[in-house]
Amino acid sequence: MNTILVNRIRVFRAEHRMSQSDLAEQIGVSRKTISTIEVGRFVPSTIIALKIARYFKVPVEEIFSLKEE
Amino acid sequence: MNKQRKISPADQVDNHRRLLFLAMFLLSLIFGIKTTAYLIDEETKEVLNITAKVLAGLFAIVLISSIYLKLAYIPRKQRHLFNSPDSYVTQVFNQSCRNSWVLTFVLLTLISVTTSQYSSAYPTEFYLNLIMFIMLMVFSLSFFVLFQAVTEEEF
Repeated sequence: MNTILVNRIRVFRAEHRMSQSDLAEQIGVSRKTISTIEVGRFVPSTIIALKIARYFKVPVEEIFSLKEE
Repeated sequence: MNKQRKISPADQVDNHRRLLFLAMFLLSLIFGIKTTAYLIDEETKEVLNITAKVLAGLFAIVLISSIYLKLAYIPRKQRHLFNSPDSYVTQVFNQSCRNSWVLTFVLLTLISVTTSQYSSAYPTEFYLNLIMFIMLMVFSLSFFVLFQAVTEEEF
């Protein structure tokens, strides 16, 4: 069984009315990095995941979760 | 009204990498032309030589642009971003290196199996140019293919 990482970054961005570029600038990564994390093409490091969670002021588990395929 | 957004250092690192890989692609074409020099007639060789000079000029322009971008738009304190693992472009760079290494290894193995010291059809320079062509072409094309993730700006 394959385990994949899913995320709700897009949901949180929409709630905060933020673009990918805005979030990227706040986290200190490129827009491409944020967009590839959102579509599941790039798995972020623990540091980036925690930075995103800290920015949105939620636990990291609210943004990232594991899904069994 | 369009708001002019200043490009972040992380995005400038991505742009720098894209320019660098474009330079590698142009360099691969030059080596490709040098390789074909052993396979074509003199007239065509003359045309390709001119093409190679144009490509060399473009390569120099692109390389200088990438260096200028790095020095002018990426502050010294942000240059750690070039080696940051927290970047999709770094992942793509690493994967491109792997692809290029594997194919270069396969090519070297093929050349060593199919040629010998006394029965090689072409001079050593031909094989060296061929290897450089394949290595740089795979390296640069891998990067561009992998980098083209389908991502659109969302608000």
